[in-house]
Formats: sequence, structure tokens, C-alpha cells
Amino acid sequence: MEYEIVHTLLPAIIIFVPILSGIILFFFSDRLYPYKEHICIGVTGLFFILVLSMYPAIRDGKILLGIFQYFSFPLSISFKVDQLTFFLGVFFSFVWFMAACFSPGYMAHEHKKERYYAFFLLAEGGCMGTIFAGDLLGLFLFFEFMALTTYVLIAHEETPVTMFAGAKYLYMTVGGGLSVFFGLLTMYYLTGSVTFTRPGLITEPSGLAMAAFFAFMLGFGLKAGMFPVHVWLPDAHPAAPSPVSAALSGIMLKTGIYGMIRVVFNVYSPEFISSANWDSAMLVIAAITILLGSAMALLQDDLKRRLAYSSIAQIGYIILGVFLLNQQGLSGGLYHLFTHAFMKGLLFLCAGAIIVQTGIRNISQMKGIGLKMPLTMVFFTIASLTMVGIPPFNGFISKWQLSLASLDAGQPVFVAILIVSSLLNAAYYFPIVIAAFFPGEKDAHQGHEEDEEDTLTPVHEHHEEPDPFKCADKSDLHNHGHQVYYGGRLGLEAPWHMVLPMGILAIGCVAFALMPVNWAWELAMAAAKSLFSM
Amino acid sequence: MSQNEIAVSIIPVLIVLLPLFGVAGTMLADRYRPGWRKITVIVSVSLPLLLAVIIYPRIAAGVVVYQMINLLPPAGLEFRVDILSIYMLLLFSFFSLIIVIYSLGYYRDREEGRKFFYFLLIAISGCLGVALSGNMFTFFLFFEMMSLSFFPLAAYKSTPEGYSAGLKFFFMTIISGVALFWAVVITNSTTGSLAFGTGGLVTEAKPILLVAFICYLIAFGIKAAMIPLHIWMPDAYAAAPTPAATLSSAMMLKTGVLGLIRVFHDIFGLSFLQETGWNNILLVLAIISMLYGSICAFAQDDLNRRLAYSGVAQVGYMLLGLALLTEMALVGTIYHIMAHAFMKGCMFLCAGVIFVNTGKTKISEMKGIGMQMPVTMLAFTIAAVSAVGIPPFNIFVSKWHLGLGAIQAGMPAIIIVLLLSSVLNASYYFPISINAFLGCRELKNIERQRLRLQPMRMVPVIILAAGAFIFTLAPYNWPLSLARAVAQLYF
Repeated sequence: MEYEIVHTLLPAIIIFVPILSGIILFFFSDRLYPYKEHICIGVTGLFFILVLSMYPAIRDGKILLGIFQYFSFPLSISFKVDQLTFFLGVFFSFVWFMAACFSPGYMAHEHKKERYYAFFLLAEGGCMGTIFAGDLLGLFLFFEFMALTTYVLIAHEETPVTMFAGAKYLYMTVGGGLSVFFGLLTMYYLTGSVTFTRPGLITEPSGLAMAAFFAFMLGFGLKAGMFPVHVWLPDAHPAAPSPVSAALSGIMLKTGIYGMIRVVFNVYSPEFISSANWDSAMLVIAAITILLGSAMALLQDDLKRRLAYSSIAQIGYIILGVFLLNQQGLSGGLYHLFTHAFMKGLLFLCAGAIIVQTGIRNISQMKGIGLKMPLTMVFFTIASLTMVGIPPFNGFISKWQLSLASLDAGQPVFVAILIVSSLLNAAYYFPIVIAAFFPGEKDAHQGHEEDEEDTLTPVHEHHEEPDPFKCADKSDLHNHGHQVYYGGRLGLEAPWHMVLPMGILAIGCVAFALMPVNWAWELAMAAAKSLFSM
Repeated sequence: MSQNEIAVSIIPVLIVLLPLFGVAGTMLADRYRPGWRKITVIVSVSLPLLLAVIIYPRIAAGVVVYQMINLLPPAGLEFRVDILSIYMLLLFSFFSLIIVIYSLGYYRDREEGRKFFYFLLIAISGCLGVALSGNMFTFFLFFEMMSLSFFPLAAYKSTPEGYSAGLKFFFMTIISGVALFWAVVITNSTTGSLAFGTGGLVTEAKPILLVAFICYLIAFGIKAAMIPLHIWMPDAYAAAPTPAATLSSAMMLKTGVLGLIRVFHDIFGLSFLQETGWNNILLVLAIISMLYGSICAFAQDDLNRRLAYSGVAQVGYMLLGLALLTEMALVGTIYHIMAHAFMKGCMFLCAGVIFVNTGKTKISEMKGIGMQMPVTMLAFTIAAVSAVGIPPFNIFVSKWHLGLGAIQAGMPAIIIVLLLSSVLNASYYFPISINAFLGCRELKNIERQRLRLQPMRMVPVIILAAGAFIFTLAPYNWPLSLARAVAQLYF
């Protein structure tokens, strides 16, 4: 199938919408302070609509290409929207939008809100620029931009623990970026160009080509949270504010995967990689990532940390799908990319709602929380079911596809790994859900508010002691708690503006699978097909 | 090497003489009209910049501007402006203007900074002369003039540390001068000429020429702070007033690198070095510089000292590009000269602003300083990020070319050293910026108030910070095209 190329600057322009608004918000924060939330939500929403507006062209099999003759070195940067880019762009910008909508509620008691919203927009711009870039140089530029701006978001709370997690993230990501730089340089040396083509430009096997490939994998894998360079991830996710964790896990990890896909399909070519046998190394790494992530998640008591390890496992699925190097596997991987963006984004938002409303971070203290925050926990349950891969949820489709692709590729062992990992998923998500709704003996007598209060108070003490800033808010939160208890059972539920984004994401986890035409699946298929047609 | 059209002009001589006239003018102004000092100082450095801009179109069109003054035989004072010269000249005259403006802000007290400006202008004249010189002898002359006048600048604070650092520098300068003298004598006696622009004077390898080569390395290596001759630099930078440290980092280091470029490509010549492989001496030293400088920078708590060690590492990049003897790598070197000047100049000026306004020199004391002076620390952060080599900043461009040059030379492993050094860069610069802005919740309110800063100090800082990305974002990367032209001329 031939794709028609349309020259338009639209992709280039829309990337600079969030970046410019972020910069303006940062530099004029005094004047714009009262409108910061509105700007952030408005711009992310606008961005989603702009991306969506490209749908008719993409549906007709066109590729939007905008060459941006502004960067003088070493080649001009281009922006390209093809099927893959559109597929990722539309869902990612939607999750960004939801995370932005969730932010005001979560950030209500935080400091430096203007900086948070400004960098939120900048990070979105960087993330989307990574996906929209039409060549490796542009991808690298936005990749680094995203990495640096995300650091400020991760370290937002500025406690020693956060600062440490942020520093770990920052230095690892700088190292990863330089690893990509090495690959970029080698590609330019070998081929004299850094544009994405189909098939890729590197066709001759050589030591340099191999070094470049693994440098790419290291750099992008680091961002994606691939074993063995995932170590920054379990620290960074719990440290970041929850909407950022949602964006980080749901979207930013995927930019690493996106880089891998581009490298495999547009820098090298799948045939070349399978003939050089580099894919088997990556498949082994994917299998280790899946099992290690799932196993480590079982051991965590901090909810966000458990979610972070779970993300590592899910990233393993996607890497598996990509490196099976067949169209079915790729479409499964891509679909899982979208699924994971929604469900993990949702899970982190739920965790954020729990933290804001009760201050609880540890799973062992979450007994009976479903009775206090029923909507949040219902959403959490939906996301868990999706994660385990039970029909009719999205996760089922991607796992189904991945299993079929593994069998196609003649490697049934991956099916076994997928099943083991699903079981592990169930083992670490369902206890949370069960304990939340069926608290058992101690919390069974709901009428005794005094009792409840006793159990809750030490939780606050325990959790917030090391955090000097939270201390200032504690009394506030506490009072809130009292009020709620006398108000009624549902009183602890998050306010509507936090519940709404979670609800929409939860619907997203189910709706696509229930529709007669699975729009996301169509897009994923189209993207996979466009990558394989050459 | 292409023979260019030669135009005789007095302009190069004027450029060198103007700052010297400026010294006289400033002395007179201080004596009779103290208020006029600002004007004389600024005029005497902005006129060279203006003249450089005036002759630029002719040079860019391929004309070599030339002037021979028959003084000091046998070699004579020879000025010759080719593309490399005009590149360095524009850089030096621009930075001298920046440094002079900053110094006027730094020394607000008229009496305190009086003598500083005399020596500053002499050093600037020396730098410009080095850039314009047309043979090794002239180069030697201006090089010594520049080096010796830096001694009073380094020791200007009159502290014991200042004196000892100044003396250390002084003795190193003497060694450098003696080595350069030896090298010039040997070159002159074996080849009979010292002129630049011939693409290599040396034709056959003799042992005595190796002595000359090593003497050149020592002489310029001391100035460029190459390992193991860098020992004067951290002390001098920590003790010197900020404008002096900036002058040394942004301009004087570069004269050392420029000297080595001249030695490599004008005295010895490309083919000669490729045959003998003497460039490998420099290659090894450059790699050690890159790693050693970065590792040492970690251990420093004094901001100026950290910047000094980082300078050792950065000079390692430039020497690496030179030693690889490939066209791309030379482009990287020449571009990095500019990129490093902007990056390090900005950092030094920021360090100076911090010191003048708060009296802090230790990094550990600088927690939360971004609350007090956000613009300064933002500029510092831009410079720090650019140092890591991330697009769209300048140093990405130079690292790119250095990396390509390394692959061209058949040594891709060098890229790994380059990248390792970049990671180290990030890990000693980023904590400064991070501590300045983040992790400062426990600070008292008094420490959070914004300070009012002098515009004379802030304008140079902002200009240099903008320079970190302005060329790469422009539609036409002008320094890069000059660097490419220079490299084309030599290869």
C-alpha cells in the first residue's frame, strides 16, 4: 500500500502549542497565577483536539510531513505524522489531558503550583515532540527536552526522598540520552542521514551497526524501564506527584518504546535484525523484564511502588510484541501500549486520590478503603481486571494478540511467560481490591467512628513524619477527615473533578472492547501495517 | 592549500594597538576626569570589534589581510588575518567587550579597580595580537605579553592565596615562555622560516624537531591547562577576581589551543604529522585531560575551582579534536572553542554575581540561591545543560563533530570517553542548579527574597546564556560555517 505524503506545517505548529504556553506560564507566573490550572487544562485539551483533527487525513492513508527549516544543524528537523504517530499521539494526548484535569485536586495543598503547571506543559510538549519528530535528531532533541523537564516534575515535592529519586532519574536519563547520541552519531556516519525511512538506511551488518543498535536499545530501554536499566523507575514513580506518575508511567515510558520501534523499523529493518539475530537477545531481556517486574511488584507494600514495578512488567510485554518482529506481535504490542497508558494512568490517579483523601500510601493500611471511596476503588478494580487480561477488557485483546504472535513466531514459551505474568498480576492486584471492599474482622463494624479514627490517626502520623511540608497541611487534612466521618460513609470520596478523569479513563478501559468496531484496534492495526509495508 | 588573494592593510595593527591606546587613555582619564574611565575603556575594546566586523566580509570572501612591520629581525612583526584569525578575533574582541562591561559592574568602586583595567586592556591586546599574528615569532611576542599581564590580574585581590596562585602562574608562564623560545629557535634554524599559512614548514623528520614539538606542547599546554600542566589553573581561578578568571577561561585558554592548531597545521603540517604519528602524544594527553578534569571537578566545593577543573576537561575536547587529525574533528575543535567560551564564560560571570551579591564561593553554601537570584541561576542552568551536549545547544554541535571525527579516524571507542565525560559534566553541574532551585523548603523567608542586581553585571550574563543556543537555533549557523571553512583550508 502506498502512502501519500502531504506537506503541511500543522504537526510542527501543534508541538509548539504546549511548549510555548509552558514557557509563557513559567516566565509570567506572577500575572498568570490565578489562571494556571485553566491554562494547563485548556492547552492540553486543545492539544488533544488538534491531534484529533488530523484523523481524516490519516484515515485516508496520508502521511503529514512538515519540514521545519529552522534548526540549522546538522540537518533540518522534520515533523511527521504517520499512522503510528497518530495512534500514539491521540491516546497519549488524551491521557495527558486527563492527568491535567486531575491535577488541580491533587495539587491543592502543594507548593509552587505555577512551576508544576508550567513544567507539566513543557513535558507534554517534549513527549509529543518525541513522537511527532520525523527524524532521529528531532526525536533525540525532544527526548532530552522531555527528560529534563520531567525531572522538575518528579522532584516537585522537594523532600530528601524525592530529591534522591529525582537525582537517580536525572543522571540515568542523561546517560541514556548520551547512549542514544552515540547511536545517532553512528547512524549519521554510516548513512549520512538521520531521517526515518522505510526500510531503514542501515543495511550492512558491521561492528559499528551492532554497537549503535545496542546503544539505541540501552538509551531507549532506560527510558522505558527495561531490565537491567529500570532501577530509576521504582523510585521515581512513588516520588512524583500522582498525576505526574500517571503521565510518567502511562506515557513517558512509552516514548522509549516508540524510539525502539523507530529504530527497529525505520533505522534498521526487521529482516536485517532477525538475520543478525539481535532480536533474540531483546526477547530474552523482555522475558526477564516481564517476570522480574511482576515478581518484584508482589513484594511491595507501597501502592505506587507496586504500580511502578507492574509498569516494568507491562513494558516487557510491549518489548516482546515489538521484537517478535511480525505484524501480529507488533499490533498486539501497540494495542497494549494504548491499553497500558489508560489503565496504568487510571491506577496512578486512583492511588493519587487515595493519598490526597486519606494520606495512605501503604497497601496494608488500605483495608476497607473501598467502603469510604467507593468510586475510586471501583475504577481501581476495573483497571486491575484490565491488567490481568480478563475479557471484555482491553488487556485481554492485547494479551490474546501477543500470545497468537508468539505461537506464530514459533516460540510458545512466551505464552507461558504471559500466563505466569497474568497470574502474578492477579496475585498482586486482587488482594488490594478484595481488602478494600471486604475489610474483614476489624473494620467490619463501620458504625464506630471512634474506632475508625483511632486506626486512621496513627497512619497520618506515621506517614507524614519525614515530610516537613506535609506537616503543615496535616491539621488541615485531619480536620477534613473528622468532618467526613460525621458526614457519612461516602464522605471521603474524591471531589467530582478528580473522579471525572478517573471515570473517563475507566470507561476507556472497557468501551473500546465493547464497541462493534474497535477504533483503537483499527488504528493499531493500521500503524503496524504501515510499519510492515515497505 | 589554496593561495588566496592578499591585501595589505593597516587594520590588524590598529586592532592590536587600540587597547594599548586605551590603557593610556584610561590612565589619563583616571588622573584628570575619573568619570570618563567607563567611556575610554569601553571604546578601546569596542573599536577592535568594530574593525573586525569591517574586515570580516573581505576575509570571508577569501582575501588574506596582511601587514608586515619590519621590526625585530629576523622574523619581523607580521600580521596575517585568515579565516581562523578572523574567527578567533571576533570571538576575542566580543568577549573582551563583555568582560570589560562586566568588570565595570564588578568594580563599582573607582579606586579599587583602577589598576585592574590597565592590565586587563594589556592582556586583551595580547590576546588580539595572538589571534592576528602571521608568524610564530609574533605569536610568541603577544603570547608572552598576554601571559605576563595576567599575573597582576590573578593576584589582584592581594590575598595570600592570590599571591601564591599568582606566583605559581608566573613560574609556569616562565617555563612556558622558555619552552616556546626553544621551540621557535629550533623551528627557525631547521626550516628557515616561521611564517603561517604555508600548510607546513617541516619536511623531514629529525630528532631535534621532536624536541621542538614537545616544547610547543609544553608551552601551549601550560596555557591551555592540559594535563599535567594544569596545576596553576584551579588555584589561580579560585583566587582571581571573576573578570580575570573569565578572561583566562574564555580567551587565554583558547590562545593555547590556537597555538597548537597553528603548530599542527602551519608549522608541522598535516602530512608530516600523519607520517610521524606525533599527534598521538597529544591524543593520549587529551583523553587523560577529559577524564581527569571531570573527575577532579567532582571533588571541589569551591565553585571557581570546580569550573577550573571542568575547564581542564573541556580543553581536553578541543585538543582531542586537534589530535585526531580529521576534518570533522577539527571543525569540532574550532566550534568548541566558541561553545566553551560562551558556556564557561557564562558560568564564571554567574559565579562572580553570586560572590559579589552574597559573598558565597562554596557550592555547599549555595542552597536555595535560585530564590535570591533566579535570573543568574537560570543562566547558569542553561550553561550547565548546554555543557552536557544536548541539542539545541552549542556543545551538542561540537560533540557531534568530534564524534564523527573520531569515527573517521577509526577510533569509535573515543566517543565512549567523550560520552563518559559528558555524564560526568552533568553530574557535577546539575547539583549546583538543583540545589539552587529545589530542596530549599526549610529556608527562612529572608533567604528567599529576590536581590536587586546591577544591570552592568547582569547584561553580560544574559547575553552569554543566550549565546549557548542562539547560533544553533538561527537558520544559518554562522560560527559553524566559519569553522568548516577553516577545516577545509587545512585539509
